[in-house]
Amino acid sequence: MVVVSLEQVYKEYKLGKTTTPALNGISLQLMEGEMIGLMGPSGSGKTTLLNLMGGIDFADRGKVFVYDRDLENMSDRQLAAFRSRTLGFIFQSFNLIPVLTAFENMEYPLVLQGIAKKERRRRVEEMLAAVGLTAVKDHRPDELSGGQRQRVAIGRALITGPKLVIADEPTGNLDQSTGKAILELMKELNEKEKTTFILATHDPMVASYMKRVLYLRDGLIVREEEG
Amino acid sequence: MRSLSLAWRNIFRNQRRTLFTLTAIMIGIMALVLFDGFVRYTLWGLQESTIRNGLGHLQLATAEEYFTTGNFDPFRYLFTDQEAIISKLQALPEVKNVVPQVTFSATLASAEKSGIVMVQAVPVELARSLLSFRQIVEGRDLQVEDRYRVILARGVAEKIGAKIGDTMTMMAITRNGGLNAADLEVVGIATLGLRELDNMQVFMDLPTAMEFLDITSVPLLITVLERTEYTGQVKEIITQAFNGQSGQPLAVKAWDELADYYQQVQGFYGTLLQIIRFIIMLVVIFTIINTMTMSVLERTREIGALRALGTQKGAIIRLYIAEGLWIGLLGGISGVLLGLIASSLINNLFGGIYIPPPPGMAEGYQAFFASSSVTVWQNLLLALAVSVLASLYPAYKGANLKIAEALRFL
Repeated sequence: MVVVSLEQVYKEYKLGKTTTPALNGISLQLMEGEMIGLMGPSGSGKTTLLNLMGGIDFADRGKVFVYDRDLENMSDRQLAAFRSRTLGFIFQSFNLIPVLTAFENMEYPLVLQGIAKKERRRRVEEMLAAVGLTAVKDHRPDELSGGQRQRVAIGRALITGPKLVIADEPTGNLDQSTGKAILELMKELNEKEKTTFILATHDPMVASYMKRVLYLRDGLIVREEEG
Repeated sequence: MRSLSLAWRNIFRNQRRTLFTLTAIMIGIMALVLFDGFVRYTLWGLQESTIRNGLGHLQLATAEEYFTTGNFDPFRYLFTDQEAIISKLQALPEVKNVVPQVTFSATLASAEKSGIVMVQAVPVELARSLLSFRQIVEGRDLQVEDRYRVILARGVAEKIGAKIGDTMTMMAITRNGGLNAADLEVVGIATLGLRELDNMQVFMDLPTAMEFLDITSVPLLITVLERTEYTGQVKEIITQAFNGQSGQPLAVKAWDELADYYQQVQGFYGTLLQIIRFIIMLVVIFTIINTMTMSVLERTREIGALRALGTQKGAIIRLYIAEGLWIGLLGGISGVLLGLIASSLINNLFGGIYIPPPPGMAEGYQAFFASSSVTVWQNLLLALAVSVLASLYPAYKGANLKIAEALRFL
């Protein structure tokens, strides 16, 4: 089953008077259960590609379908609901909510979905155990280490059981061993739950965990490798 | 509910900034509570001095026109069954006194000077209840057995150069159109606190005035109530129960309908309060907008993340409005409390503030702050409304951030 489909997608950014092309007519298909890595130098269009798939940015030309839905034709309200139900986002800089504890940060997406308190508690406790954070669940982000923070962020992205997880350099700010542990966690989910992952990364170690790696340059896929 | 608890935590993130915002609201609201208390006290003082300077709470006449032109021709409006009406009014529990009165203009002359005055004649035994704010500054008050004796208001005595014990000649038109003259002895000089009244008022006993004018009844019945608050309800009772029953029509006016000066002052202070309120709230609004816009800017990436997770625009707006609500509530409560504490300190510790004579007043006075529960609620609601209003723009700005750009924000 096709999860994401991009057809001849163009995107450029305007900064003052200069325009920088980010995507140059890219086409791509992502199948269910895939674990894809995006590699390429800075400015090659990795993040832009992820943003378009996540419905938080829009193409200048071309079509983006996620689960057969044309994201361009959805209202802001529909897109927010779509992101909440279908997607999991993991950011390089974690982007946790500073005033919420680890528990509450993970709970937040469930609140958005309107899930009852008791069920939320059960699922958060389960996820805290899975990412090994039960001991620090009442700590706020500024009381956690980088690795712990990213594990909270991953827990937050996965807690709703999303079908597609979009991660932008999820291990970029982590040391080697923490990064590996997190990748193992993703791999396990991918195998058990058939969750589709797409990761942007600079790190060849990360790429080694992927089933397929796409190399981007100047907004185009220049090479593709099976893992 | 979620927005409220999240917002509560958010406002304590940058404690110094929140403190600055709260201080702005607090000082603004405190100033308004104090000013409101001052206006309330001043208006209350003016209200009571107006009522107790001879106006009474309610005035009854036989026609509406009496209240505008009656003093120049009181004879057209005389009651025919005055005693019956007085006893009916006296039966009401809210009524303290019913004072029959005749007021007429006259010429008062000493050996050298003369002037036009307004003579107010009431039964001496009732004068004190009607004129409780009148102060005798020289000589003595009228007594029940006094005939052809008068008290002059201070301004009148100065104008015609009268002293205690002097004999004045009063001339006025009587009921049948003839001119009558009488010699009067000055027994007292009084002040009413209002310069306008001090310059024209003369007081005498009612029997002398009736004899002088050749009348057997009066054109005006003044009702003094136990409390000023009863004015509205008693007016209602009188209008409903009395009209049509007696042979004559009845016109009733409450004190505030008759006190033009009070109305003007009330309007003046009301406008002043609105202007001050507007300016202070404008300052507060811009302070809140400034700090909240700063906080939107600081939290750009966080908002981007919240939105990427699937938070609706409306929820972001609610979050910022909830922050405004908390700030308004905290600032409002502390401002009102501070205002009340400051009022009570000034009232009790310093014995009020001396205010020099305002325009139209004969003397300065000691002002207190008369805050009421209305002051508290009004200012609390004002703080809330203003804070919520001020948070709308930052809320809108935050909600409409472009998510991808917000996430890139450093």
